[in-house]
Amino acid sequence: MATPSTQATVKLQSNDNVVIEVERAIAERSVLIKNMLEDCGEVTDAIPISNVNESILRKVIEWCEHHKNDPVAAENENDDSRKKTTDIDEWDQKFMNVDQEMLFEIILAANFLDIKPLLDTGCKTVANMIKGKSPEEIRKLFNIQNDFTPEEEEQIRRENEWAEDR
Amino acid sequence: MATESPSTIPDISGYPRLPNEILIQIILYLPDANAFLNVSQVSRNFRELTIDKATRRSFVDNWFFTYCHPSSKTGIIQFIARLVRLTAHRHLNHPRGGFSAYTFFSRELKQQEISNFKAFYVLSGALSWSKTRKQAHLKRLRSTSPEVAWEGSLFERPTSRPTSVPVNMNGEFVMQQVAAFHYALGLLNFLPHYGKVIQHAESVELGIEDVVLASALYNVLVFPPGPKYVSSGIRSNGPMQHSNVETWRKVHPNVGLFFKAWRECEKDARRTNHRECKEYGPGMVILYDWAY
Repeated sequence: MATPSTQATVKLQSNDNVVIEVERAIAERSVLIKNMLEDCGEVTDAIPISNVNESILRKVIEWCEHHKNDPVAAENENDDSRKKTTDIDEWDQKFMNVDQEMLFEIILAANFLDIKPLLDTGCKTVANMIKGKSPEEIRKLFNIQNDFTPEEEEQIRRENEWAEDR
Repeated sequence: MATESPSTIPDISGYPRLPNEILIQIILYLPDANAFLNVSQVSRNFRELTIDKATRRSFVDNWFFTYCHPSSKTGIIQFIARLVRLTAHRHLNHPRGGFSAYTFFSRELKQQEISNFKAFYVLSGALSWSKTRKQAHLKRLRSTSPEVAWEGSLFERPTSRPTSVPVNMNGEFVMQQVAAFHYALGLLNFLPHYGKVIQHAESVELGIEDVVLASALYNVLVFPPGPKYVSSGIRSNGPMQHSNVETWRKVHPNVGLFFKAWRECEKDARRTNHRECKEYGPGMVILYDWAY
């Protein structure tokens, strides 16, 4: 195993070849990067973040910077992490107030970089957008094509009839 | 005719690029069963994700864990949802659909731990569901919860059944008198299967239907905030109203966190409005729902 490094910053390279230098502690909010740094010791070259472009990477770094002092959750799922409330703190709500394309990109980046709290916040944001909407409204919101046949739609409608208000 | 090159076709949706593992995480964060069921009707992919047994199981478990954890103030809702499922087969064939006060005071339920059912019926009265909706719900519960052999044992006639219980010509206990009779005897001592009912209710496997009911109850109990009062309906009998709350607390320790004895509402200076579930008639436990 490599000797633990004391380097203060690391360089991250987006998939459009922009190198961004960030504090190591901030970059280590990403479990992927943290593990990489622990395995490799001192890294002077830029770490390629192949799935994330510059604007999303900067956005993710902004989130990590704001949350750099948050306690890191234990690896094992604890009781709190099983709770699935859709509460989102005020700063995160503002942070996630972006267009849908960017929201999905942030979620994908959080997934790739293994930043669970950011991924959770993204998923909660989408869940809140879905809340209270009909299937048709959800399709419209996310531009999803209705690929059911009329017969399938009717069958599904009947299956869910028991839960309808009447 | 000019053809559009692939590069000029707009990216019409961010959604398809989210992999299913992330879509499942989003589904698990949906705050109620209606959202879950609506998502299941969006597209084939969402349907496959939501009918998957593991996803459904996780959604139900997480929902109850988050909103109605047994150790939380709202834990009583989970207990009630379990009781409703446990007894769905018994209730369904009842002429009034099983959610009614009529069943509550029928001979059949009289023979077991009636205090368990009080909490259920109080909340049932507070639900805005129509009779048709309640019946559809019970039918659905029955179809997703096969009748099991042990259930019958909960409804056996107790060997030590008191002989002086007032019964009308249809074999039903007379409401007012029964209420007074319960009080005189002590509710928990009268009914023999109290422990069994709780034990079996706790072993019930919850499903999406239970989240539907529990979501509705959750909204009744949690919104608007403020105390909820319960009464036996026999308002002149103050001590009895208190004993109801105490009895429920024996069934579920957190009942008292939500309900106060009815007469305490008289002293509640902040009340601006109240709703009484009159449809159940005298003798029925009544939920007073105060809006601030």
